[in-house]
Amino acid sequence: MPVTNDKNMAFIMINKKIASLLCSFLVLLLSFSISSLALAEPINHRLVSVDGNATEILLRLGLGKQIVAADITSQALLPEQVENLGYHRTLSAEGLLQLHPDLVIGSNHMGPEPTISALKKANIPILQLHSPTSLKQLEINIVKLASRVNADSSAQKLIKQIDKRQKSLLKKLPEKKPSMVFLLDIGERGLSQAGTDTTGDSLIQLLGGKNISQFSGYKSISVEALLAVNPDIILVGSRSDSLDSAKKLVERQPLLQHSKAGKNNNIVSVNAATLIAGLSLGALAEAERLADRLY
Amino acid sequence: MPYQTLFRKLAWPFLGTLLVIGIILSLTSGPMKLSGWQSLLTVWDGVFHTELSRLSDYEKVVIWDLRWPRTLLALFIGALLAICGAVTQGLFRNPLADPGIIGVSSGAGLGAALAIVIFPVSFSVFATPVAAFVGGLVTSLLVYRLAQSSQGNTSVLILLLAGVAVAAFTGAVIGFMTFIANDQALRDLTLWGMGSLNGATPFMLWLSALCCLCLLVFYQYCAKALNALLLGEAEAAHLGIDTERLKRQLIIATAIGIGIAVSASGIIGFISLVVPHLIRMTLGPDHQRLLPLSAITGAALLLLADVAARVWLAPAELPVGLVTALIGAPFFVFLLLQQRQRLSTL
Repeated sequence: MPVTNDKNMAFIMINKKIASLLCSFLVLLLSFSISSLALAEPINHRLVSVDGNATEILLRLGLGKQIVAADITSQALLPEQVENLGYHRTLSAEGLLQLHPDLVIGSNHMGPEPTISALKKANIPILQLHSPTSLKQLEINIVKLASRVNADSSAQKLIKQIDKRQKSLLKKLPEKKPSMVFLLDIGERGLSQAGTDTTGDSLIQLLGGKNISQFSGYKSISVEALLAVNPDIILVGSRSDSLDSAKKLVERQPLLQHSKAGKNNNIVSVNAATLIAGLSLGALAEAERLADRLY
Repeated sequence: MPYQTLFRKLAWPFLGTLLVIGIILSLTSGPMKLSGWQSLLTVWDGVFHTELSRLSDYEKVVIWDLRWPRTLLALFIGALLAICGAVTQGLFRNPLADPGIIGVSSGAGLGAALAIVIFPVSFSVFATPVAAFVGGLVTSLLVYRLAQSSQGNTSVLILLLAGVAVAAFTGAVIGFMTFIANDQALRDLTLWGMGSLNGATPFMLWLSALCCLCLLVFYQYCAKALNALLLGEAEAAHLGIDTERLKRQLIIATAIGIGIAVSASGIIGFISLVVPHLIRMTLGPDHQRLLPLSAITGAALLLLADVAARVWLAPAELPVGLVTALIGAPFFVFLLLQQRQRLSTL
């Protein structure tokens, strides 16, 4: 029956057309998926950072987009707001678990202990980094962190950069160590001086100075005591970016103008926000700025 | 008063329901969104070793290892604070007394401050709670000894004043500790003062459970004597009650109870003051009724406050002491205004 044959032919033709269309579509789809596979990030982690220093490193490793939540000190560093976990020593276990993180990064100070044991029980990997007091410790932290998030090559680049910056910073430093003090201006209640185990002290070391404080931690100091020691350089921590704390301090304590540091215009403001989470990349940048200003 | 008899009839079912609601809310709410029914089944599974819940292991950790112990802790600490408050108010015959009056809280604060500042962080998780407990007990015994005359009588007025003096002294020592503390210790100290149910260990949970149950039984046993004490010390003595022995036992028991509560959760204000006062105002001062109802209400209120603390800023967490003070302080002012008329005539 020719009519039905014709019909069959037409049917087969259409089928063939559809088949070829489908084939080309599939090929197209396959090529798309292959190309997108090649373009995609190697692994997309859900990272939680509860340490400002670690957050800064993650950003420099180009992993900022993978951070899904952070502690309160990290929030200011991040370009976009992520979920706020509050203070890194009173973390809520359920708050962390609910985020289903692939890795929780914090310092050795993160806590409380029951929260950490709950994370361990739920098999959530935790990386606790030592809060750095030197660039060496900072580099160790970068390597440790990078190996956990598959960013070894960018970590090597970052470390080379830090080494280079440290060398050029060292070249600027004077031969004789100037005596220095790092002050936190606590308003009408006086001044607080950075002792030996503080990040303020780390900054002084980085600037090639000698900390006049003999104590550990932040201790209050009177203006009279400060004038008696008469350090070469006075660093004044400032809470805001406006860096006006040195000016304000001299306005309130005009006597300081007659100190060695005052006469040589060496009372300078430091952005204290860079020193919150130990010696960080931000602190290095701040040290470079101060070295240019002072030496 | 007819409305008081109505209140008395309704108090048990009403407060009991409030407690059950508190427990259920505490188990089913949190930063993680989980099915409420499945959450409750998980707890059932954990208690009775069944396999009913369909939650993943990961979610079961949240319910069984986080929410359940925390619910129990809030329950026991809330009850403990409330009954110790009720007994202190009865003992001092002053509805606005607080267990802090005998120096427990200030002593515990001193112990905790010493432990936080002097011992290194890595020393032991038990250092702070143990020091807080010892500090609370030693201080309240000292206050008690100060109030005892050579004949062995204890003056409630001297007790109160000695408590104030000792609190001022411990405040100064805590201030000195703050002065010499490093950054980390300073922040710990501040947070400890705000009170939280977040950091308690299982040991502290069971200790506070045990203490809460023992005190409930012991206080109930003393309830009639406490009622007699409301008439006045001499009157109670004429009724055949050894008032000195009673005062000593109750002060020591309260010091232990508050000491354990404070070392498990830091300083959580207002439950011990507001809850017994509220019950007394609505249902009358009979301690046989006051004590168990205070326990139930204290537990329910702390559970609800803790739910608020966990959910409000999730995934971060507020210290629950802040929540109770935020609710408690305005409520306390309300109570004062209510009683202004009556108190001004005294």
